[in-house]
Amino acid sequence: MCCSRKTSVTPLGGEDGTFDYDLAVIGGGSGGLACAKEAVNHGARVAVLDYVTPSPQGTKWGLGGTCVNVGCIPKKLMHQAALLGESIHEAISYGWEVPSPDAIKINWSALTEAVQNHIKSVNWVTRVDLRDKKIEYINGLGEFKDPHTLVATLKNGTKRELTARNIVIAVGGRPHYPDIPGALEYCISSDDIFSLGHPPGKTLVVGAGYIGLECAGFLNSLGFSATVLVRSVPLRGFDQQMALMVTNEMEERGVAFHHKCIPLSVEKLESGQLKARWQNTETGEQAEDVFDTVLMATGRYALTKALNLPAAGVTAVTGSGKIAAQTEQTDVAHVYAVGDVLEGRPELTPVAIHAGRLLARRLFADGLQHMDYENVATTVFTPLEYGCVGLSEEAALDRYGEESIEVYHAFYKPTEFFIPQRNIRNCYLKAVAERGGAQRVLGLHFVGPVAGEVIQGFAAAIKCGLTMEQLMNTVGIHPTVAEEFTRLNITKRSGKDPNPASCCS
Amino acid sequence: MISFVNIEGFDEFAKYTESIDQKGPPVLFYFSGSKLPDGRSWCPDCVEAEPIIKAFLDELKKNVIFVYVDVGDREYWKDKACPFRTDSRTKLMVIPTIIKWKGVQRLEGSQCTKRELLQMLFEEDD
Repeated sequence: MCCSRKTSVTPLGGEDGTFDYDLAVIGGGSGGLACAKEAVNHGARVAVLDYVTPSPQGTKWGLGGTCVNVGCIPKKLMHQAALLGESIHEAISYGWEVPSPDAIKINWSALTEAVQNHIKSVNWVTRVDLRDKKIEYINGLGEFKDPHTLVATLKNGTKRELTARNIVIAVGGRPHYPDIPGALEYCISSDDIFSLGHPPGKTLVVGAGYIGLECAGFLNSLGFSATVLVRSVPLRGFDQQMALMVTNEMEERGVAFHHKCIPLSVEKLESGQLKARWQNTETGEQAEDVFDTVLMATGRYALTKALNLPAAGVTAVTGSGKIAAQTEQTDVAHVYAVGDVLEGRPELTPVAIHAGRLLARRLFADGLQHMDYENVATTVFTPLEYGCVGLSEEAALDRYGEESIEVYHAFYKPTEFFIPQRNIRNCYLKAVAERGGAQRVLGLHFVGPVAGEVIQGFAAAIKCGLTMEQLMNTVGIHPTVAEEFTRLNITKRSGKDPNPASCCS
Repeated sequence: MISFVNIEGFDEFAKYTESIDQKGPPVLFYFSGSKLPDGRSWCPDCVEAEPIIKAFLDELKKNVIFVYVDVGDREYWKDKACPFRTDSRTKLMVIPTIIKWKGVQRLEGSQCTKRELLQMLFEEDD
């Protein structure tokens, strides 16, 4: 079979009538569902396989994938709960009469109930949508039997076989557990935290990627003491100056960080609490402490092992288990991959959704457009958020060299922070740009409130080729924090003080 | 065995919810606009849905309580402050709506006319 199919539309249904479906999608998450729904819009017969293997602690969830059930959605809700708790106290400085501020505390079970109810209603709406669109939903763990045949194993053990002309692998990933004593038996992960049946109490978070930091952040704000073990650096891969702002803010709010530390073991004490031991990899020093909860946030791995890819002939699998597929096309002509399972692509819901839709259009609607994975904006929802789009300063220096880069930066003071005297020390932003000409913007970075809202519009601007000249000629909206991007004028190179003189000047 | 209950208005609805046996069969509420003298509802979507739902229920072999709730006349429903719209137990945005009591599952508007969706709502256990 020729592998260079470019624009020919996949014949639908009964051309040779040999396949049950035009498209089978393995994985009912962000990427898989978007691809499936777009495909039916163009007349394809589609089946979606989705299955959640329970976490080591036994947690399971419904249709919708990581984002809906144990990712973006519950994370944002808990982040919001944490922010609201802070707001109640800030309100006092604005004149609100709040009875017994010291008595204000979070009811963990009310929080998780509200969050889980929302998730369940999203699961329901998702299932109604699939049924309404006549997409067959099979609640089974899918694997390949041969290049066009999948076998789904249902919860009760029965197996269901189906054939499809095209197959999209959208299985995503799951949390990785370090291979240390006690990890699987006693520790939880992001799979479990959002439905934890008891308040987490004093928590150790192992891992300082965005998942670890976001969890430690909201737990701390909700009133549960949080400690973070950082193996190398926080938010590895992100701009490190901004990562430092984020962790400084967390530390100033009471989150403890142990840098260059790896976990050694977790044991359960008679009290039911957990004793965790760790080691500083630079000094060799060991330490331990007792916690109520230990949350592993040490990375995620792609769920490709259970797929039996060899049966499909798919060999483009990297050492990490991810699938190498430049245009979402694997090394087998009719087998594709979207979402977190892909090697070298941002692990983000909107990326999976967009790529899934474009793929479906190429397969079933004469679509020509390919996914642009460059300049994808994202936000880390730590207590003080970090939003960014484009290159980090390090990546820009690496790619262009110091002489060809100009970095504009500033500290700023959100108007709303003055009255409650909120900490402004970590409110900072920068633009990384080409040094010559109109200075094309290569990356924008912002630490502050509502960072996601601030950065989103600028992602579109960067797509249009935004230059510093244009940015500086954009009139800001006042008073906002986003306007600070339009006020950037001090370069790192000048050595001038990036601290704000005063508002409005 | 389907048990049929007829309720008129919000007060009767609220009172009924207090009498629901938590351990009893699932309760499904169907909110519809009231009937005009000719026997049809003032709400055209409800007129469309009712025979389809009736036919579905005739074939349903499950132990459920189907509660038909007459929401009221058009002016009452259209009022933003209508308790069926504002009360957190119902939070109706559209009629007809079918709600599974104490569950997140509901069908709204034209969803109520689709057999596969009625199947999902009535036949599945949580």
